[in-house]
Amino acid sequence: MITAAQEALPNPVHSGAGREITYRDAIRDAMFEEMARDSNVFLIGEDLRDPWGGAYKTTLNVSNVYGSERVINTPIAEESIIGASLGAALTGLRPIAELQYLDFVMRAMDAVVNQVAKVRYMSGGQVQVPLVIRAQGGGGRSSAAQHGNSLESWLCHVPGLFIAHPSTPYDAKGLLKTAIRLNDPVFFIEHKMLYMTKGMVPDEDYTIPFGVADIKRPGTDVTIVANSRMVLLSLEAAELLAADGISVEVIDPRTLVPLDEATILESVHKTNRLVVVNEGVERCGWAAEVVAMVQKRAFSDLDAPIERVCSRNVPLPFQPDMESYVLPSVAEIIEAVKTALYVS
Amino acid sequence: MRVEVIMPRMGQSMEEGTILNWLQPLGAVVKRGDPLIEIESDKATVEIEAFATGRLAEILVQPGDAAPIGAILAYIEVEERAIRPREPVLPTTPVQNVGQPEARRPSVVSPVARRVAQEHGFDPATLAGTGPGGRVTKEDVQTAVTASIDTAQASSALSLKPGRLDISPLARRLARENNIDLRLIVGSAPNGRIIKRDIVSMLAAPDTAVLAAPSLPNAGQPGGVVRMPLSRLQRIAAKRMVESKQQIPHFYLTLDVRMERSLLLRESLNRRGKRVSINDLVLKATALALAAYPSLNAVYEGNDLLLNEAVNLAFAVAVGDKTRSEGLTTPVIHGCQALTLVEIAGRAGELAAKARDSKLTPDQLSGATFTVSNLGMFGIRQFQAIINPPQVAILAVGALQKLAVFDDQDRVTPAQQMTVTLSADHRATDGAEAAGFLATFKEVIEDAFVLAE
Repeated sequence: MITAAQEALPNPVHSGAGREITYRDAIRDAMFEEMARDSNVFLIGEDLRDPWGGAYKTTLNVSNVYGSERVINTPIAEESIIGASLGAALTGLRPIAELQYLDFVMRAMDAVVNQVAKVRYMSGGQVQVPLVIRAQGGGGRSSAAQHGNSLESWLCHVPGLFIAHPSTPYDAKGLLKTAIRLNDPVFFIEHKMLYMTKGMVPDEDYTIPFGVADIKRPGTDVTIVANSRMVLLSLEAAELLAADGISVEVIDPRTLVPLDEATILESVHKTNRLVVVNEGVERCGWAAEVVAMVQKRAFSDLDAPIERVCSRNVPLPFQPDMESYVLPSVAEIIEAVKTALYVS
Repeated sequence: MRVEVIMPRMGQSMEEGTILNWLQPLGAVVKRGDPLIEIESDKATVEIEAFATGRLAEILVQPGDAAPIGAILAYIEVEERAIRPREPVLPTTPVQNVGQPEARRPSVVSPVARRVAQEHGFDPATLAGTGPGGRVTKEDVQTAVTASIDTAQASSALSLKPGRLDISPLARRLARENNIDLRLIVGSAPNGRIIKRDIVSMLAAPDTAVLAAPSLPNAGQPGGVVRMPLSRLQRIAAKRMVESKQQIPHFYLTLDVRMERSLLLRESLNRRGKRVSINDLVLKATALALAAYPSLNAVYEGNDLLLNEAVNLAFAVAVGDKTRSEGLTTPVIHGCQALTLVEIAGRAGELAAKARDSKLTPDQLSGATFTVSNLGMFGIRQFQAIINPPQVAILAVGALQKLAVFDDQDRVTPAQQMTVTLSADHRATDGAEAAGFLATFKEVIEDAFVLAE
């Protein structure tokens, strides 16, 4: 499956100009460009059409340009959204389905786990599923327990799905294009707190291959592996730690499935210390997967136990201070780094 | 057992019904499902069946009479054996986290304590109450909860087995790659773990001689290095010597003794065919001194000193030749307190011969209460020996030396002097006592006549 994802998608090298745009606009641009490139690409989900343009405005103006046949508004019926998209994908179209909140995937979980992820295998390869499911997750704005979950761990546990989890506008655009062009189902997980963040995005067409991590900040003393918004928190922590003379390397895997193990292991070989930061709840979360992989493959490179910084094992509170207490924080990341360094 | 027959509700708005007819006579045996009564409500007349099998034992409402919904109309006497007893449902017992569930003693438990205990799965009756009259209070329950959490955490935080090193995988690998003996490194991590920087600093200071297996470039070549395995005797001794030095607080007292009279005695005995060596004189003198200082003729056992009635002296015999030692063996002469000098000499001679032929039996090697080690034959003037546990002392004997000394007239005079050093276990004895022993030893060996008694 991994080789299928990485066929013929080279590492981007940019020569031309770029602009600073928001994460949200990068995602929208990706969809715009792919819809222009391939008329089979269409959008389906709740409230996507103009003038609303999506709950987080990621589809603003798309129906104005491409019409309502290629931007389908659905009722609040997640299982049907996924089911219909799967059917469309099986019959030759390339749907981009949107779940307004990743939390709502739970209403479509059977379709995702037992149909979308498995039908290619169970048909002996007779069919393929060129389906992208976009959703946004995460906490930080009091969306509370039912609207702030980070459920990527659940999805990583389903063989047959690819999981992309960008943290920057550049990564978001490149990864979404790859996802759309892939002939296998991809969960493209955005973060509600990242939509307004800005970053440089090249004007030219580019894609980012799956299974290639990005070293967002090189360092020598400790490796941090983080995903989505936690990459930004880790970079903030790294900046503060640099003032203490601690050099932190921050790695953003960008895709959780497939995971770029080689980059992570190379980094741990260099620094001998690892901290994994994931917004999902600590218990049985994605961070544990990274820890297990590294301790197995780089045991003799470890000078300290691997630290995890995750959300506490409780439903996400509504009250802002309590929500901050539960979510991972820059302070906790700094503490974890210092623990790994045997520094108090 | 009597089963009630009640007025059924036969309609939403029905509040009472009227008995029209009993379809079974009083005392009749009815089967479940048999028609039993005709009842009239305001809407309809309905035949009601019996819901139990038994004897219609009593009729309470007669035909023509009305009764409200739920009223008892009759009783059916059901035979006991017709009813299959229900399976007993085992009550869920609360998890006993605290102490042993002893015989339940009735204890007063406050309602709050009971609630908190229930929340944590305790039976509060098993706790000791500190409230008035022995009442179990909320605090008692909370203390028990905390204690059970602590024990759970303590047992889950698996402490390192004795002898296991706390060391990071990386440090272990680096130590292995660099031939470093980990037992000699102290970890610098906050919990004492050995980490990479400890190995790195050890490597940076190689003159601390901790390299366990230094790489030898010329192994096997002329002028190079040959590997010589230690004999079994040597390996066992090595282990015991390490234990002795680690566990016994040694202290050392050195004394010089004048051997003139002892040498004369020896000469005299040898002339008459009784072979007695200097070592035999020492053994006899030791036995006499130990009689006066029994706590040096003892075995140390934790808080007790086991004083031995018999003086069983071990003496060292070298096995192997002078250039290649195969270790020391220490045969034991049992009961020296009752042996004469000549008898001790005889035993010592026999045992030494057997030792050199490796023919000593286990009881000839065990039971020693004190050891004498003599390097005088090698010319060693003075040395300190290592105590053989569980003994508490050892006497190291040096060579005879002819020295110039001052006599009591301050004139220089030749003397035959021998230096002995007592190593003693400071848990079992102290300087004063050990000095007393040595003084007695000196007195006895310098007098010499007493040795021959």
